[in-house]
Amino acid sequence: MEVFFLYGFFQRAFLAGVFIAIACALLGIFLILRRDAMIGHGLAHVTFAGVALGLYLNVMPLAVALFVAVVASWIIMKLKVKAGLHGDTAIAIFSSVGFALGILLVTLSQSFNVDLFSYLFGEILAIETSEVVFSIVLAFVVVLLVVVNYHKFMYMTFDRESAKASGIKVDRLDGLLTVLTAVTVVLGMKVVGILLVSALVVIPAAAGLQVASNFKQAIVLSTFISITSIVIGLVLAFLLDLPASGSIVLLSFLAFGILFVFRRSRR
Amino acid sequence: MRRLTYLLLFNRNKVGHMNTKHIRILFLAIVCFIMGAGISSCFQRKQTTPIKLMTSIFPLKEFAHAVAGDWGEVELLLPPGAEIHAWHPKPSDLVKLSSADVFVYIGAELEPWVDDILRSVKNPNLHVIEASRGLSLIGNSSGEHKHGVRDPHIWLDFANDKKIIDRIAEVLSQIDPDKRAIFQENADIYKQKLDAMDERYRKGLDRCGQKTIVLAGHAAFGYLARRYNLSQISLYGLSPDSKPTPRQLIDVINFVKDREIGAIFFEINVSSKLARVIAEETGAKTLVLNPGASLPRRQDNSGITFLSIMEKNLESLKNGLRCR
Repeated sequence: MEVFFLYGFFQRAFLAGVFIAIACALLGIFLILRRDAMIGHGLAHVTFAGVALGLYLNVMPLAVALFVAVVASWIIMKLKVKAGLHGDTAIAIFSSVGFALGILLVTLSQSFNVDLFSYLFGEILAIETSEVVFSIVLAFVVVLLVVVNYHKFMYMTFDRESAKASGIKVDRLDGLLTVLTAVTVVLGMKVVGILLVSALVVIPAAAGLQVASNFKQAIVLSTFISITSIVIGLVLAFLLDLPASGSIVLLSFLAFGILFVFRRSRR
Repeated sequence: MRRLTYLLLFNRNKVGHMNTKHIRILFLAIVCFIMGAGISSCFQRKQTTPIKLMTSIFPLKEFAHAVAGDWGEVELLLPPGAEIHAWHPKPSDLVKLSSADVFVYIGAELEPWVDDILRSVKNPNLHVIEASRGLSLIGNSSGEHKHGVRDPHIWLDFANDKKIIDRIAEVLSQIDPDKRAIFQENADIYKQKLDAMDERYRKGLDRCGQKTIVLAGHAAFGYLARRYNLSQISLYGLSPDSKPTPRQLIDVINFVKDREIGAIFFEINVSSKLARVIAEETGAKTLVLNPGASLPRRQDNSGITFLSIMEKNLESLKNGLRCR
């Protein structure tokens, strides 16, 4: 086992994974409680369009994906408010349009190869130092924002109208949450790939919410589950040659299942 | 026939005062004209229109062009930057193929779509050349567990290329027997160039500090390695469509460290990220080694030939393998 820590690519995957796990768990709790669990899924599909655009223009796919995802998250927000689209309609539209655009661009750029596969299914072997730094910064920003706006987020999550009435800038906080989710999705993509990144946002948070009796407990528990699944998933991937993405998601689902049964039996 | 009936009806409407006799004469005239045009075009076809050749990968295009010269129009299916193992033909390619005279492809599962499109393209005049047929193929040596996997990268052995060129010349001579001598001469000229390149490889790679080509890509250089007494190890198997496992990556890294290998080769159309990872871990440098199946994307590709690609590959190999 220790032998893996000798290799730079393992250390990078490990570090990026842990910090992305923290960001995912924190954001996931708010998104689930706001009934916005699908936003990660939608943004992941849009990210695919971003990656494809990057491949097409032959510039850094990750940077383009980041830009596209953030813009899309903003548009989804606006659509929800302004166009009077109910619930997840805006997300449903954007996820399909994003994927459609992605397929088109990928075909045009003739890059239907291992490059594309690495974005769809993750690429733990080639995470770059800059991406590790990004992940750490992202995790810190998310933690900081949650700590600073903790009460506002809580108030807004549970009673949006009253929060608005009491002078909290609900829309701005909404935007913040969505943009952070977009960034998280793009960075998480490197670890588990576009197709599974939304699971990182949703499943550990949902698992934590199963048994937590208060908000702080939920945060701590979800973060723990998130980090553990990523760490064990990566170790399994490196030791047994299993795909990291699948292992990580299934492990977090296992945690969810255990906690679900635990809660049922406690009643 | 439907067209003629239509014409007849159309003419009757337009020239209603004509009697049936006139119409019959007109009908006959039209039939004669169309048949005459058809027959004469059949006779002329071989002399005037160039032979249309379609090829799957870039080296085959060059070979076909070298043999056919001005008497053929050669088109390449695989667009620049595309990866042959992952590419699929577009509908417009099928249209082109249905009017082509010759289709040259590698076979040995390099182009998995070939069987399907040959079945769907209805073109009885199409001469199909499967380049790998009759050549001695390298069996699977990359450690994949599949049985019967053959290495399709046959064009990276100049002896194979010469055989492929002979077969193209033979098929073109069948289509246009009058030009047999021309095709044969063209083939010989190009084969001499291949011989010269072969000789340069033989001399260039004769005395090298290392005998192993370490590829951060797929195992494309088996034939080249066999020809010049080298060996290759690679991250992927014969096709770059799967991802390497961490174990494979570590094995390659350890191999490079243990043997103190100075350079890792990567392919121009496949991501260089993993080559960089290996280089970072081991301190080896990275060099491009291009299998040449397709041209690089978004560059000025004029002047790039299969021979110039192989020339660059030789420089990379001499540099990376520390040859004297």
